[in-house]
Amino acid sequence: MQLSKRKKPFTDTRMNVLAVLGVLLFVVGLALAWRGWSTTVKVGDYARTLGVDRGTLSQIRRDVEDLGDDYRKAVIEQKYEIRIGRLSMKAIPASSDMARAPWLLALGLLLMAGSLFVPGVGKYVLIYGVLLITVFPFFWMVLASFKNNVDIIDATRGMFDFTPTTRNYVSVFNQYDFLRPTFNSFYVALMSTGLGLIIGLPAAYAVARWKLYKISLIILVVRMIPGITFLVPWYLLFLQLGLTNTFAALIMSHLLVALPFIIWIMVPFFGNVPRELEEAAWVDGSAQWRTGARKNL
Amino acid sequence: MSRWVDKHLKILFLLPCLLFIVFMVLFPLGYNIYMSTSKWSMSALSSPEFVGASNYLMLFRSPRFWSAVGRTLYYAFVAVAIQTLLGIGIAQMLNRSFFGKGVAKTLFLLPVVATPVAVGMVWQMIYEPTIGLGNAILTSMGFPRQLFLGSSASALNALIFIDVWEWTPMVMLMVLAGMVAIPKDPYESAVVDGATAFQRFRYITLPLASPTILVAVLLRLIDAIKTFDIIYATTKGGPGFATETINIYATLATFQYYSFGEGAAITMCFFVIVMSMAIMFNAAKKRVEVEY
Repeated sequence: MQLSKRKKPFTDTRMNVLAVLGVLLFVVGLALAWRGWSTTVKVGDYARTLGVDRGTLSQIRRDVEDLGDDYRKAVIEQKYEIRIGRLSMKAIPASSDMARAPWLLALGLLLMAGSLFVPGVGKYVLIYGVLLITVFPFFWMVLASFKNNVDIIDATRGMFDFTPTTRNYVSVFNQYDFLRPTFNSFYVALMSTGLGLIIGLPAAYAVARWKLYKISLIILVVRMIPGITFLVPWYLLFLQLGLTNTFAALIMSHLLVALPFIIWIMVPFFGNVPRELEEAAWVDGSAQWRTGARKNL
Repeated sequence: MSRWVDKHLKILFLLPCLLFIVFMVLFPLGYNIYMSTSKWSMSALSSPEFVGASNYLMLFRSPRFWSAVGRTLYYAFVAVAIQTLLGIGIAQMLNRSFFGKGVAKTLFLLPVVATPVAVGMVWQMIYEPTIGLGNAILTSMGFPRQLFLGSSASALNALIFIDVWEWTPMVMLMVLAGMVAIPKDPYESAVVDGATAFQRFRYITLPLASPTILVAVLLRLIDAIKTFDIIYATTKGGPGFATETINIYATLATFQYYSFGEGAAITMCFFVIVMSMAIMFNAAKKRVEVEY
């Protein structure tokens, strides 16, 4: 039973619907709990600023609501012997919200806990919760790319409270020469990969074919040497060769990363190609080097 | 001609690769050793002056170097430990079918494929103490404000957090590959014997995936010790020396203080550390016998 569930958990449509409903329930619960909790936190903050306890704060807020348009700061200050200062009373959560907050929190937590008993929900909440945390900085980056600087920096506003603008994208292409660096990157990447393949494939073939694992170890070690070791000697080397400030130097240095990687990946692959296939090709009159080139690729 | 080529094929195929290694790796290494025994500030007027081992002696006496070593090891081991735990957890989570698996797996890889410098910039904005998102979230949940990268007490841990965020998916992916390769039979017999899900994980998944986990850990360890881009993009070793790892120290010594001998000496010490890691990696790899 368990095993068949492992393999195909969603053959049953009813289970599927149930799980989706459960996840929805969890999300609703989370939203309610968050609402309640953030109100509670905010109330605590205001209470601390004014130097009163939560009960008094809710009393103050109710008074402010009762007074309505007749609200005068001085009256409240005198009644409760506090200094309101520049604090806006309208910013404090309404007294009804304040009263509701603990209930919202409790209800939300209850919903969240309850939804976890629905089969499959725990799994989804866990997976997509972790995914959300992982992807969040990217999401934020994408959002920020449509904001102007003020909206990005202003922490008092919500994440979605902004007027979308495409100016950033326009300026990337207009003010900065965006295409040129992109082209350069692609050029260097293509050239270093191509060169890496030309140098790396025969080497990987030789390593796999004649079992020269010592050499593959050296190549692996190359990957592990901290890059800064190379900087100064390379600079001097390229200077001697007249390659500084050329693409060739950049490609060569990228090759250092690409080459071990290519060899690393290709050695097991070549190792799996049966020798019989090669021998058959020799019998058919193919030169050995050509066999290496043709058959295996 | 063709016969000659066939006869020396072994050498010919390896030649370009070996040439590359000699020119681009062995020569720089040798040059580095030479530089580390001399005093030079890269001027064309005065040639390097031979000073023997004094660069090394100076390093071994300097507390700055040792604390950089300590920080590097702390950074690497703590980050990789967290990454391994999280990575195994997430891999176990993903190692079953669920709705949207393909998309979820791809999205999990986003941090790994992102440009490190861009990642550094985004996290710098998140970590900004007054207006950053990190503090906005913390305060809205009722936690006190943090200085993150701004204080020498928390900067290194904040960097570890970025590293964990960036590289956990990598560990996860490798571990997941190991888990997927485990045959189904032991699970079936375990279920018949009445093993709980946790027991199946503890006594089947974990031991059978441990070779892959070990390889992932060691690879990550080597990369974590070498971490440069994230640290350079966010703190450049500051505040004070709070996030100065060996790599950063070597860069500063070479390109900011222009004392090439000292920089080369640091690099060589660094090289020894990474190399010992690599030897460990190789020994472990041989013991668990996985093909890489």
